[in-house]
Amino acid sequence: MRRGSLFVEVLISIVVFLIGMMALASVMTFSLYSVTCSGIYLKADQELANKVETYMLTRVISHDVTPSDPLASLVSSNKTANIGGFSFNYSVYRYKTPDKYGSRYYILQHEE
Amino acid sequence: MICKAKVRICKRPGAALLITVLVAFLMLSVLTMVVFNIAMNISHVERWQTAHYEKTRLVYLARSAVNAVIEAASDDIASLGASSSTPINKQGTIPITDAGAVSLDIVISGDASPYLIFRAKAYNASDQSVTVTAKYDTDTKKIIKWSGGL
Repeated sequence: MRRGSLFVEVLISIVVFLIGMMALASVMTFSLYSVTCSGIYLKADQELANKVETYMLTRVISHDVTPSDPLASLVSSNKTANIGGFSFNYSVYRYKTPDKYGSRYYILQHEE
Repeated sequence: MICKAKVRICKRPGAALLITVLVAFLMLSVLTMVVFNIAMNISHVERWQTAHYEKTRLVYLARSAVNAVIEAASDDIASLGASSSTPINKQGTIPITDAGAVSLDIVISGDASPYLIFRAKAYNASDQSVTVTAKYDTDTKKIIKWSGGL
């Protein structure tokens, strides 16, 4: 057996072991990140849905309301719909949360 | 000799360390698999939630559309032309380009004595659809019943 061959074997073992450990660590990090983010996304989505729901309930009770929440924004206005000869003006509002990409709700609003 | 009682370990001086490291590695692998499995399950739930979320979006659009039509009609309910002798059945489609490829089919039906039915069907390009119906009392000018949705 040559002198130093054990040292080389140990070094190779350490490198292989470290690669395995790094792979496991990255999988663990990704998994924990997914779990943590999932909770945050779910909360943000639910809060947004609650805001829309609250607004819809308010609107059923009182017709003279417009979305005033900071998460709501006017997307388009002065549009006209025709339902079998009955026309009315409407605008479209969007509820969107910055905490979750793609989470948004749209609502129609009657305009005088 | 010092190693007389520990012949096996002396023959393989790194065996104990190797076993310890391998067992630790195995335990970490199992732990990682468990966490990864949890993450995959959560990802699966999120995918379901996204599909469900599309439907929720259609529900809000349909409900608000019914509300908007009723708000517009309640200002002058006679303009709909409904009476006990002439029930109406008005239909129309509203394309909502701002919300993606979503369309709303609105139907106003009834004889206004004293009820009118307002129905909105919201559907998207993925063939998901939601129908919401409201029963409107023309006497009290109130929605007395909501149905449909999720």
